[in-house]
Amino acid sequence: MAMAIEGDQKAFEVLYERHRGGIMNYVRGMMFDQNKVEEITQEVFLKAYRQKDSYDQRHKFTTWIYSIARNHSIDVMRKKGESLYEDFKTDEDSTFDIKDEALHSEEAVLAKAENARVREALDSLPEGQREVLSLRALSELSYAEIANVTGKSESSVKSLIFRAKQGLLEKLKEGEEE
Amino acid sequence: MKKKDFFSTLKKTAEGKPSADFDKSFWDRFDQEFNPKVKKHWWEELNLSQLALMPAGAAVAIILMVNVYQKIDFGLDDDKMLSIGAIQHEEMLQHMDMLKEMENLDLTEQEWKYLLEGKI
Repeated sequence: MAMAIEGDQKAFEVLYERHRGGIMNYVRGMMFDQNKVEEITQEVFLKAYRQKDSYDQRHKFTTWIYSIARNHSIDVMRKKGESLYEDFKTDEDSTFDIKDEALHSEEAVLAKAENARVREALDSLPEGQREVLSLRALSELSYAEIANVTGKSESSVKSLIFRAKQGLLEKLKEGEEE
Repeated sequence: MKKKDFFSTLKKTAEGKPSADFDKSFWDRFDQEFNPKVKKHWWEELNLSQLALMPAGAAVAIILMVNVYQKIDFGLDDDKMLSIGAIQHEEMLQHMDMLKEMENLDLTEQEWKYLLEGKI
């Protein structure tokens, strides 16, 4: 990123290639309007380059670019009235660790489900849960990185992801039974 | 199943792929904002082939003017000569193709003298 700040476009291209997919998946997880996903993803990177001088090199680039993506997505949703912002609030009271779920059955449920149904189940989750699960599973961020991007504690992030997983699996099981 | 497996399975089933022209579209937007092309000056945008026609056009104009001043040779009065001049001028404007034919005009010294001074 230091080279990109100096105006090295090649360096920025490397960052773009590395994070494009993850940012797009994150934005996709945030948006109801899927037609806007690509446009917003592009805007995130344009915004990052526009604001490159404000990047604090003591922090990780991943945290910075995902924060831009988060803020921009929320701005867009706010303008369109899409978001229920209560879901983005930190839920510190309900923290608990992910430990011994019946993990062996999860893979089976996911594997059976069709892609569209998984996508649908993911979209049906509350936004706060959907956001952190997307960041973890689709963008492959660590819990610490997710905590930095969302402004939540790590334990809160884990709690939200746990609930998101439970919610997702329930939706998929419901679909199986129907 | 490990936690990582759940997430990677979820990624496989739920992640989306960008459209085929996504990257091109992005870099077009990027260049438009950060690498705008330097606007050319008006003289750089002029078509040189059009400029090449200008001397030919000037030569045609001179020929027409000389014709007007050669009225005595044709035995015509002022009114008729002016009419002829106007007609010729009009033809020149109407038939710009003629200019293209004059593009390779290669006049001798004598011809230039005739055109400019009306005598050989």
